[in-house]
Amino acid sequence: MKTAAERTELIEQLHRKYAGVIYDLCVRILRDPVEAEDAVQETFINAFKAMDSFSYGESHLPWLYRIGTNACLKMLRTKKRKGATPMENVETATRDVAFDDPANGMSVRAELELLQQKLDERNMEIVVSHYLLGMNQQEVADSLGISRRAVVKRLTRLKKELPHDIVSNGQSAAEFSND
Amino acid sequence: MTECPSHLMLAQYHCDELDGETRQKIAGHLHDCDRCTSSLSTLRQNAATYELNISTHAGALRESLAAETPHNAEVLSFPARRKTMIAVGFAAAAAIMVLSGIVFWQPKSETPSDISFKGAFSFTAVVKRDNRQFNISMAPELQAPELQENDAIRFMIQTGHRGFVYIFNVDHKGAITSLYPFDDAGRSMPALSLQRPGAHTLDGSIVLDNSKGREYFVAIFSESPFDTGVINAPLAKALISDNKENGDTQASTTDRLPGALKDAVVRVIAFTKK
Repeated sequence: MKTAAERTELIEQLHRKYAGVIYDLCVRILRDPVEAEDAVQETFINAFKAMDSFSYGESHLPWLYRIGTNACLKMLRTKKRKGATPMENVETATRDVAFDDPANGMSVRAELELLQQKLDERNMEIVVSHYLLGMNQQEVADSLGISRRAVVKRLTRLKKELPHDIVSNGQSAAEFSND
Repeated sequence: MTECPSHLMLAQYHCDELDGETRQKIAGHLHDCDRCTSSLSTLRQNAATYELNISTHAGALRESLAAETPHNAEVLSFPARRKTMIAVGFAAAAAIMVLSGIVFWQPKSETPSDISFKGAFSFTAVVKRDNRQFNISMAPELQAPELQENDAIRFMIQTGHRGFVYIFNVDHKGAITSLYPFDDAGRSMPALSLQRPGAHTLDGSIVLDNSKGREYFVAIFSESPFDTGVINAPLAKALISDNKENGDTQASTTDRLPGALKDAVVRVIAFTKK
């Protein structure tokens, strides 16, 4: 077990190395640059707390990815959508960050917020990992520590509940994964 | 590679964390796949945006991590003579409080649950009464807790930065008693230096006497050094009054502070002695 000082030093190293890509992850999920910055901080704080559970071999990135995904999903659950004043926020949200598909950036966010009211945390993580982050079923299974079969069953069951933009966002990955 | 790599794999590619064979496969895939090329470009653009301010983000993270390590609380050391001088000083000033300084009970080390520490500065009084212990912090004026004679008080602070702190008591008449650092003759002294950010449990304890009325513990934290003499009784009263008007717990009213304390944070704990 590392001391607090050792953990702090390691987290600061990881932050220097990975914060940029974790920010991109958070932008992809949250579609809001300000919230994404908060989520990056939350990710590294949570990583600091969970340091003793780290067991992802040599690379910390997959581990941070999972923590980051969950930090974003938690923000979706707990924060009211800023879209209460949509025009201003859409402008803010799209000015400083890049999306693969800017046209549906905010609609994906809106659909995720609706979806998280219907799905439990585990299913949300599966949906986001597969459709938004392009993980194939085996990668999702490995990330969550469950069987591929369980992922397939859940995705099959969930697919009819998923809104259009989220499915289409991940369509290519799903097509290519072909599994 | 016919299958599009996941976003994670693209990130690993960007960070140069893949083995040679996988890296080569992805490079080949990127050559043929506009979607993944665009996705990688987006990733690089967003990462670069964040990294423009990486030092600011790193500073904020450092503050948050410091707040997550209360178990490594640093015990500040004071000159041994302070413990006896405190009692003399309070007696001489006929102050409301009696400092015993011989009370060596140790507060529980966990972070007080009623603090929402965001990295700048937090201030808590740990009260020991008989065999139980509880914390008081920056409660609204109307919810100021009641303390009583013989309550022993110990202070805990958390800072996100190195800096200087001054803690004093203001009684119901507006008289100031300097607690940290202590000076029995009421002279101005340099504020205590905190060598590193994090949680600090201040050395020594105070024991309340039997006087009645509303009182305050005030902590002023600045990243720049200052002397305790910059806080006089009228200023202390003004700070308390701002706290009452705001009706909130933060009382970070810095407008009234002198120029030497422009960057200071003020925290006020109100309490009533019954």
